[in-house]
Amino acid sequence: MLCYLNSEMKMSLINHIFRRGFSTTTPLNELQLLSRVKVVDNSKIGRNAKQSGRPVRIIHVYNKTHVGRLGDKVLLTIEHEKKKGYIVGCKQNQGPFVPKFDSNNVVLVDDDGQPLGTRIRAPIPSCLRADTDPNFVKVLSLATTFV
Amino acid sequence: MSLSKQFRKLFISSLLNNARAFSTSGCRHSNTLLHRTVNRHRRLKEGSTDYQDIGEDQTNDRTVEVVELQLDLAAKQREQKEIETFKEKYPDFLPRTDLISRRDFVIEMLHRRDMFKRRQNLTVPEFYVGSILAVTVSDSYSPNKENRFVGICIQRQFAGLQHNFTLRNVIYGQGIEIKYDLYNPNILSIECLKMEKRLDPELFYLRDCAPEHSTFPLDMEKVPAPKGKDVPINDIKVVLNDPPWLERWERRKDLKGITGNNRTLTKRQKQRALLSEKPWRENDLMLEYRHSLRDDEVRHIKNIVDRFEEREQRRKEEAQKDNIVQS
Repeated sequence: MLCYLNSEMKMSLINHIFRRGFSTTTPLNELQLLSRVKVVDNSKIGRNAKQSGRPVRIIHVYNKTHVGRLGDKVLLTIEHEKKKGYIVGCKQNQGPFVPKFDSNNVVLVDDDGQPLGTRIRAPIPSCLRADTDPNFVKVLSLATTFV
Repeated sequence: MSLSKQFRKLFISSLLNNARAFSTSGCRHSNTLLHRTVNRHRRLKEGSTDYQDIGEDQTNDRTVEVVELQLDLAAKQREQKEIETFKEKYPDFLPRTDLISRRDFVIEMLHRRDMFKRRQNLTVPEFYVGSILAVTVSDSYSPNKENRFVGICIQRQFAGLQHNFTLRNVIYGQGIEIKYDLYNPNILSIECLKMEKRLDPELFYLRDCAPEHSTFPLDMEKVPAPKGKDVPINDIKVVLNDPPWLERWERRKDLKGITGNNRTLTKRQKQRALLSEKPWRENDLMLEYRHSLRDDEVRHIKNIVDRFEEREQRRKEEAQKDNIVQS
């Protein structure tokens, strides 16, 4: 039926039928509650999560806005357990000189701040080295490459 | 009025006069051209060559003969080509095409000054979207105070000192993109490892393609560019992964560097796709005119940049001679 109308009439008809009542933005790729995340160290739990296919999700971000950025500490659910971790890679658009990753990467850490894995194969942003938090420094010491 | 105020008034009014010479439509949303713009085009069509200095009340001369016109055409074509190559080689010196109606000539002049100063200290190589670059940035947190990244340039954005480019690479299976401000003093060096162009002005579709197309070794050696020839075009057609994609590539039929941007859509998806279709855009000549740069405007900038390059070349040659003499 629509092909018998010229394009202007088509446009107005469709606009009338399918009008949106709200405005939207382009995806911001922010890390917040229930965001899925990729574990990037060689911890056992991380490997199990990858094999089983169960998504690793953020359930709390330890900062004021509860929106995770590079270097923020987060609480995750992995394999029906609660584990803490640090964000080491963001899909979100970053400022100049800060690398943007194709996946949201996270490194697991226990409640005392000891990292659960022994090595991080994925590249880590060099700007994270500015963080002086001693627990985070322990995590970064496992990194092999910096970007 | 004090002397400095008088001077400022003169300065600003002269700039405004120059600006008026370049503005073409009354406002950025207008659908019409100003009378003086149309008259200028009328005069040009009848053989006048002087773009800027023709007054509003001068009469037209019909003096161009057929032979002269033909020679003129060949010269014009050559100049056209030079202008096109300049636009692609120095996109940072051109004003933003989406903000042409709000151009500020003073800001452009001030930006140019700082850009030339920076270019005296940092050799910015000729590169395009699709070229492979190696950028070294000063990094206070790394042991040797430097941080080097190699990647393919997927985007070049903005004008003047804000000009930035994005490099993409896949390192240990992880896709990484970094945006660099071309004129940021933290950049220690930019090296073009492979100079080539691609079929599209932006290569964001590489995010939805196989990682081989974005992987470049970090210790890649420089591939010498062929001198005296046109910029080599890499006409590779990259195959997209299966959907879901990060962008709706099925709507981007204008992209020439990809294949496989087809998707079976449901009835509702097809109807939604029709909503964002703007078939009248290709016939909107005023929009195209409002977002395009005139050749005389580009030539004006090209002359300035060419003069700078000549001076730089001379300065470097003299410096080399001095070095030889001293040693």
